[in-house]
Amino acid sequence: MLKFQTVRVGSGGPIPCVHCGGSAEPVSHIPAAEVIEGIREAAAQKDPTGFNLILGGTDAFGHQELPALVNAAVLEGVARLAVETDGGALGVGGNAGGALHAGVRHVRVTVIDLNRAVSGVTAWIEAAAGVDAHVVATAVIPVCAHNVAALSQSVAALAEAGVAGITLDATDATPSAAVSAHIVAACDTGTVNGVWVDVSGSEGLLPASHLLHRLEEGAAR
Amino acid sequence: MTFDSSNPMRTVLVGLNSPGYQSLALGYLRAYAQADSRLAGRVAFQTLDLTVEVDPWWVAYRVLALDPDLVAISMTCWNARSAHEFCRIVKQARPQTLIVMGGPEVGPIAEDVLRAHREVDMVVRGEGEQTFSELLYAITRGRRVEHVEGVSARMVDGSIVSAPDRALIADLDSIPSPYLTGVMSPVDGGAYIETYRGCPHNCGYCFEGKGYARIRRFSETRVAQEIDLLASTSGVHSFSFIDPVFNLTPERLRWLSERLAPHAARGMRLHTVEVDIERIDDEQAGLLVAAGVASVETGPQSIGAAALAECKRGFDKERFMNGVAALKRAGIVVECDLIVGLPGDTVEDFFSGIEFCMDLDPGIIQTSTLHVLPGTDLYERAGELGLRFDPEPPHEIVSTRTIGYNDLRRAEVRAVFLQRQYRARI
Repeated sequence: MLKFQTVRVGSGGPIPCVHCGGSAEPVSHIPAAEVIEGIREAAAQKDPTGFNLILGGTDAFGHQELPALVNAAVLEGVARLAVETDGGALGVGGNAGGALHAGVRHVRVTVIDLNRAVSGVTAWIEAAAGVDAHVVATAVIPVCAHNVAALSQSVAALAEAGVAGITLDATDATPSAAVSAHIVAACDTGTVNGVWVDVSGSEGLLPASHLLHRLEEGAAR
Repeated sequence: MTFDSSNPMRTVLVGLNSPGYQSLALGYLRAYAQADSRLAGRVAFQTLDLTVEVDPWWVAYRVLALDPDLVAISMTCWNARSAHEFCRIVKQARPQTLIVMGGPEVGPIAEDVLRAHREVDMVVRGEGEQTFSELLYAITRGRRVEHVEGVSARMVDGSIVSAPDRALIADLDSIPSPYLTGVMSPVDGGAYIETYRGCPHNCGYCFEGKGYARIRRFSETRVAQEIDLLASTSGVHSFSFIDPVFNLTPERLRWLSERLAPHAARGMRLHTVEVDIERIDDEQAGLLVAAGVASVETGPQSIGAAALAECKRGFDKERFMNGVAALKRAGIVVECDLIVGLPGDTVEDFFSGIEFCMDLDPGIIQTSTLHVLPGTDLYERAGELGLRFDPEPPHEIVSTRTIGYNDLRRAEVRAVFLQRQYRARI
């Protein structure tokens, strides 16, 4: 299926769950020239479907030179350009419309705070409604013991906001029958709401009936 | 009851179409019947071209406002539910109104439709133009409709009787053009031209090849006149060809291209045409461009060997890829279609098909769920093939031997996601 190449614009950001503990890695950004060089290198390795790129590693909207990075990707002939965000920046100061105008067609929202993610997706979809462009919003939900019971509600809220696909990142989830049941319910919630949900780090978490939801090896959102 | 010039039979033809389109089928029916001198003065026609989105109660409102003696509806799997609903209302409100249905949704299962829908009085089976005219003639003269070839009807005692099938119309030019006769006024983007009936293929899921067993063509003179009329109509900048294969033969394509080229040079465009992509080369792609074609629609529908065999469908991977490449070089967008739920296909086959299409980067990938349509080979062999489907229109597949109900629904949702992801490009 579609392959996206990730070029990192920085690293760090808030921890996925305050209850799980750990400390937030400070946000740092890679200089624009270095990122642009990475974009050029990525452009040389085109997929049959074209040059598909994610600007990620941290919330891309935090990079002060994001417009230049997007412009560089466009000049390199990017076919599908995605940016990673937690959604907060999409609802601020015309960012959604600006990104769309510049050539961004995909946003990949990492769900740290559900309300922020939903607001961001809503802003993105509303911005796209006003122009003649096909866009997509996807979401990644890092699954842990503290949010697993609410996964179905999260999927439903994101579906209502207009997300097309959701990845449940279960890498750090402790396998158990209860966790498995919640993940299955979240997958089914997505299906009945017309949103595709797949699961990464799912070894042993998905029953045979739901193996179609296992994220393909090497696939990227 | 009989009808004459002092009391013509008020006949309302109802189309429930996709938004923006007109019903060519109703245009043909009316043009043919209006040219029948035996009906002159005895039948008064009115066409209601509505969209399938209109609430059936409002369709009934519009129909009943015309006080009809007879209502004729062109039935497809897409509009059948709405059509049955508005007909039930019309029959309740005005029981003496005759309800006549025709079209691919009801023709092949005419007696079943009459048994299941008591509001329906008659069904026209197969090609409708001549049968509908003969039916109107029989009704206006008080003759027995159950003797009209191609008609199935409910009798006064409640029994259902079918007359023998009617032979296909040998000379399609005997059907007056709805456009050239003024029965239909072309609207921008919503007008169709049909240059032949039948299909060179006989795909198991499709009605086209089975319904019309052989290919019959409208004359070049007739088609040229229709093209010229549509292309010269003020405000019409685009129209469609309804032909199942636009590049039916190289000669036909060349002729069409030459006829369309002068109009295309002035900016007229064709809506997406369906092509046999395995026969497309650079020369044919060039002819399509000259004809004003900006996008084409094609298969493969499936790349699974078992499904292709069950559906009696050929697929040459290399030739398919070459066809897409030739069209892309010519700047034509290709819409690759895939069907989920074909007999023999697994979920993996279906997604392999999507991957195959994505790797061709055709422009558009469109997936749909199998509809087991009345009159098709799959409908007739459903039991043998293990196809379970909704008996109500649009007859969507419920499960197959190789894909269960839940995985079909999952496959649909994932496919839509992949399509959206693919289409979201600069």
